[in-house]
Amino acid sequence: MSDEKSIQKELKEEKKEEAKIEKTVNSLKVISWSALAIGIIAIIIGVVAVISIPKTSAPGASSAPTSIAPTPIPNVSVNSSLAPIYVNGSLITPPMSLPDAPVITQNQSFGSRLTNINQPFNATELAIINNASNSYFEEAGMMYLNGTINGVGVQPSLSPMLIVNGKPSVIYLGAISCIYCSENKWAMALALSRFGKFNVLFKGYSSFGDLDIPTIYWAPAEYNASSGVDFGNFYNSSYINFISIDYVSPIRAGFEIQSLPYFLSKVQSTGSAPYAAALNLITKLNNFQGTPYSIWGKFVVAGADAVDFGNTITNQPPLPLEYMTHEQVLSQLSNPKDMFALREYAAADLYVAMVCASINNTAPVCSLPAIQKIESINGY
Amino acid sequence: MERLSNLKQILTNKYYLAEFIVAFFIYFLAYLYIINLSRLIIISLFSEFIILLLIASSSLVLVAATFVLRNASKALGYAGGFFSAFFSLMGSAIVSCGCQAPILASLLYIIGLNTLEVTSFLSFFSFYNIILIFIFILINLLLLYYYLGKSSQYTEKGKKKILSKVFTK
Repeated sequence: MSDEKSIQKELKEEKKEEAKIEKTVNSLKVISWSALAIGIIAIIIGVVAVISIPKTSAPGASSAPTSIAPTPIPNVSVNSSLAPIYVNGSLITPPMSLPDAPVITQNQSFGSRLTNINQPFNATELAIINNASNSYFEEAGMMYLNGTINGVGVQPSLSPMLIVNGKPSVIYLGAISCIYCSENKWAMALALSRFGKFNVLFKGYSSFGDLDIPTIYWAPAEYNASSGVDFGNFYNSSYINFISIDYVSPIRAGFEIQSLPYFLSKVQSTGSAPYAAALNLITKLNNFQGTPYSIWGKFVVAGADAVDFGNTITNQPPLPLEYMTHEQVLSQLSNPKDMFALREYAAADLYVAMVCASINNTAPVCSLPAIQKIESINGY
Repeated sequence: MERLSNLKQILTNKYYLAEFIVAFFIYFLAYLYIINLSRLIIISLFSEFIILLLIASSSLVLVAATFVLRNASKALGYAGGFFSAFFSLMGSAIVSCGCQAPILASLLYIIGLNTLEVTSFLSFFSFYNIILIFIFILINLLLLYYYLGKSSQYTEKGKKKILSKVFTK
């Protein structure tokens, strides 16, 4: 009898426990179904996001240039009009050297190399950028058009032109620590040299955490500062303005960037209306996707125009560019025979074509057949 | 220990083992697709190692969730599947989040954020992406622990245990 009672008691307890579990499962079911619904929505949003990111534009990748239909340029997703923005005011001329960030002269090993950081380019080095032959641009442009060069080009979107003191502007927002900015600056400098001259350029590197890639600094960089912004450069042109903004952080650390409000607060202290207008324009465009970010006249290039880390197609270290000195990079650019240098020129061609389209092809470089073809094929 | 032996039992079933392998490959391909689409550089081997850990843990969660779906609760199973995919894809999107993060940024614009907010997120992700991936791995492990607990009564061993209890009574 007592056994029967205890079994019944146990069964009762089990039933109670089952009811409790069922209750918990039911409440968990509600949570689970909600999570599932959120998940499906998130996946849909994710798919839309993947579809909507700018695609690489390689017109020659699949067919000959003559048979390529003009690539439509997606409209910028802003409500603002594309009417130019007019600003008058002085641009920023940075100091030639920084006491807290001196030139390092010791020869250091790759990966933790800051040799010649903040050192101005000498006349020969500067001439490689400023006086590059138009034939290099033409050759690389044609190779881009016939598909021999790949990995170059991002579909740009439209932006209102920032007209500063009567000239359209090229705006650059980057970070000294950033690997893509470092690589992209070589192409940028080549492109800008077609419309004007750099009076000074400086040797620099991406951060150690971002592979220590040799690059150009537009101005001496506060590479020891915990956080800051370098405004300005030494560029002169009768066609365009160059507005350059670089976030600075410890070069021996990894990649770092701050949010746009930080840049906006920093620009106030410079008192430069054109730089403030440039940052306001970037804020208004709502298409910033990281650095480098640049506006070439009326075209926004969100990201690097070329992903070119030396003669390689891999995206995993070691990358050839990591193990090159500035002299080696410049030597390749002075006589572009390999893919790395040609890709830099091809990337520059795209920037040149965007500026040409923004200034009604008034600069001599705009008459290069490759530039004209890129303009027409890419729909600039 | 009981949960570990549950996992072992589940994975001894060839269908679940196949599901684990297929899930691992699909998540890994998705990761490769995401970084190639964004033309990202894998900065360090460490990043690659932790993304592989995340993918493996997500695949295990998927297997455990499928087991629960088939034997216990459909809703719990579906939710587990979602979490598994979500953490693996999210981890893939932010693992190389540095200078450029086009997919993540597009996602943030689509959900209605503006440039100022998006740059704050990108700044946050660039600082804490590795820590976030570790958190995802930890959540995956907790989910796995939970699902293996749920599945205990449905494994061969669990069933035998229940039967032995009933017959003892």
